[in-house]
Amino acid sequence: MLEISLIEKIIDYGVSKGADFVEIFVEDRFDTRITLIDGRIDSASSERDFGLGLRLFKDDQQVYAYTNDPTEKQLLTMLDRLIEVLQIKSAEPKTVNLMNLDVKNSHTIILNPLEVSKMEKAKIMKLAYEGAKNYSDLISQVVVRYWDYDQKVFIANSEGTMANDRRIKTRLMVTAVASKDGEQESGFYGPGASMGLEFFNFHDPKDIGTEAARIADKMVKADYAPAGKMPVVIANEFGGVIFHEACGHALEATSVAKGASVFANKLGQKVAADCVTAVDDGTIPNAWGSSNIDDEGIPTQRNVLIENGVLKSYLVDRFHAKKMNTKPNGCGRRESYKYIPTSRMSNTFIMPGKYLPEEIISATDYGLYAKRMGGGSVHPATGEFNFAVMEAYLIEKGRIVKPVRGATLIGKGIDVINNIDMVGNDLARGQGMCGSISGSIPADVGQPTIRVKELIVGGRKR
Amino acid sequence: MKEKQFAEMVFVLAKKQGFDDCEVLVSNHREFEVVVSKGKIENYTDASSKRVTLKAVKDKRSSFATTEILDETSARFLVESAYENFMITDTLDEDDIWAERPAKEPFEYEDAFERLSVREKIDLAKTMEEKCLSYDKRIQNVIMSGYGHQRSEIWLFNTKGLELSESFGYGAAFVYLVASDGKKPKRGFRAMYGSHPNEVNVEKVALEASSEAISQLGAQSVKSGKYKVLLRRDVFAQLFFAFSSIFSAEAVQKGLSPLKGKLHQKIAVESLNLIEDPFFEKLPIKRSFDNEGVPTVRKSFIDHGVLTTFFHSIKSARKDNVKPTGNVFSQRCVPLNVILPEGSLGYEDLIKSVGEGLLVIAFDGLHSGVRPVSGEFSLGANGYRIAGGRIVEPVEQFTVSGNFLDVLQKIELIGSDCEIVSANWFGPSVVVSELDVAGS
Repeated sequence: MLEISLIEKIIDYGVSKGADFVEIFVEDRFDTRITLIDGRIDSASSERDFGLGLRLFKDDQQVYAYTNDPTEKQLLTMLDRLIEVLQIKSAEPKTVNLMNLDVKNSHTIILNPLEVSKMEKAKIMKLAYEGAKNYSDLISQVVVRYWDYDQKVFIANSEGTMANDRRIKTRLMVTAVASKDGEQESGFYGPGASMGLEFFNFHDPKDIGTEAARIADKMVKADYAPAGKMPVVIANEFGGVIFHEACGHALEATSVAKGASVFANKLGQKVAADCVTAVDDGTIPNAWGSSNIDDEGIPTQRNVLIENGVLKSYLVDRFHAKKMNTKPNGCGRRESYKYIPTSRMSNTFIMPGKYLPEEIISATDYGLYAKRMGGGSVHPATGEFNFAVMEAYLIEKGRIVKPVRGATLIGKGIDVINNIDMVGNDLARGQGMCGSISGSIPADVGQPTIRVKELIVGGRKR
Repeated sequence: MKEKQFAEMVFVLAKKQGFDDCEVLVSNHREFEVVVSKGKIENYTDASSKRVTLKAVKDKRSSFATTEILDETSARFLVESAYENFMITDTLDEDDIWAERPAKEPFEYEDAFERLSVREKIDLAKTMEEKCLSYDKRIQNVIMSGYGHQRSEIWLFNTKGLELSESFGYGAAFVYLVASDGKKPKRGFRAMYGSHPNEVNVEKVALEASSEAISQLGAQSVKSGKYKVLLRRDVFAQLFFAFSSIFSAEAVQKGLSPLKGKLHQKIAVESLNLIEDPFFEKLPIKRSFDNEGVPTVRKSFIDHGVLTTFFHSIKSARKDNVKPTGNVFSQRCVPLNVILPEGSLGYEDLIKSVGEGLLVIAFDGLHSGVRPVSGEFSLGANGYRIAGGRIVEPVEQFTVSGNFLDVLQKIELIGSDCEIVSANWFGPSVVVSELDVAGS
């Protein structure tokens, strides 16, 4: 993407001026987004992003600049400004030898989305529409969104690493609206993968539409969820968003290094119930949150975060590794060249336990069954989280008795992982976008069915 | 390559491709931000970037493409991609390219923040952190103390002869911190926005974020039930913006808004007026035209409780046979600046008027706990319990649930404590007669 001689010149110049670390990140990316509403393709757009970011460390300070003008003049001007900000007093001339990192591709692409016509993509969307629209008479509207991208990244740094990666992702998202007696409710389902169009050989677009419609249809007929503290059984797949938000973010070095996490200084300590083992794994072939290397040029890896309730590892990026006097572990991620990378999750999930999901429900006298979770958020420093539940049911005397809507779950992360008392054997993963200081990135969440002894359910008293 | 030259190259290619009309929107974005932690630079971003979007129309159907490079290859990419996008688009909704010049002169944003030296801006962020830490020894950790600004300059050219340009931007200071009494940590956050450094008071930001975190120490949960609730001005603004898409005509036309069929009806209490004002003096961003080139206009979209208009793009306006309202920004139809005019009571009097109830100072989960299709929401919250007309204790870990349209009908009082609470909202706190609360 850039001449190697220019990259070497920039890095040599940066270290010669006294920076401890110099990094160049170059990105070239194509996005396709298509929206179908009411059975017709309503809009379609194509996007090409190209830009470059320059990052420097000096002691424990970090500075960044980006541009989409990749000329030598622009890069040297940016570098000079960053050096000035760092107020480096004196430095020696230095030369860095760049070596290509041998990056093995673990995410085979069969049908590159850029080589498939948009007409084919539109056909897939229409199948999803049919799946949703034909589900029931209550479905009043269906919105189908198709998204693919092809992101090429190049990273070079003053440690001598040069690496390339290419991330191709495909996702289909369906929102179905159900209307009944003047009220409306929506359902959403949106699987995706690090795959090309062969993704739809594994996921029937019609089924994706049906699933969104099933949720909307069920919820528009539902009463409001009860309010107050109660046991909550959270289903597998996207249910894993609870660990992602409640604990995963607080295990990122971004919070831990500042002591702004409830998990800071707790490595090796018991932080969760014995039945909880949780992993972040950026290497899973073709998973939505996977990549061969992270956005700092480090190969991704499987990091065991919590093992049988004991805190084993944090997620550590380069800058915070320096602050924490430890090594980065392949989780430095960013949305694009417009963001400074930081420690982020990739594919995060709780490992399976011994119970059948039915056993967990039948062991619950009264509580909420959260079948499909919506999104959530957390404040890592206080551990306070919240989640929307998209599809829920009331459990009474060990049986699911009726659907309920409008539930939100709130609590504190460390309480949740201590209060998990049953873990099912049905591990599955779901896909979402994770937002944080380095932007919005694809991430898988996952878990088997679990039970949390007590959570505050935000519903309504009737 | 200059913007106009690039646009002309795209026009030629688009004509050759068979498009009837097209429009090129070029944006140059400049961004600066410094975040300090423990007196050191934690994050520092100094950036500029360019973005070009092509809107091309053929047979009254529009399609789009975007690039970040202005060269001949990109011009071809834009036109070829837009054509492929056009070929699959089969909506019956008609779109167009705008032709009339706005009557108002374009705004020119003079970036006074850019005139501060980088060192001065770093020092402002450091000062803010120091002020927080010296406020009270229970301020345990200033997670972020930041100072930043941004400026955008846009050019719009189309084949109907429209040529417009305008610049806009703002600056902001923000603090996010944690206080602890050794038991439960509590957070404090404050941001202040302005179009000039004089309007961004870093000492005030530090003071307010610190005092808020300290005052939340020792918070308990609340009993589940129905409560009268005072929504602080920033919290009410956040709730509105979480639901702002329901005012988009496209959402209404497509059955994705609970406001369908409610135009010219009373949807809120008589005392509620909400104004969309792209020229509002006190707010930093001002625009004379939107991203479709349509002139922006000041409008009262809720007038004494009556819904008077939706926000229209060219496409939605054609469908409803009305004029577009100049509200297309980033390809979505949204209000630019919203003003809630002041009521009669000051903040303290609002608290007194609540008698028994809750004051909410923060909502969590605004991106996930709201359902724009139905107006329903259920959100995590923090605040204070009000008893005997005064604040008696901090409260945490509760949820507030309801329907946004019900909230508009249940507003009992509107305060006079107007402030700029985000880059695009100016308004006071409001008292809502009843909301569902879940806690312990």
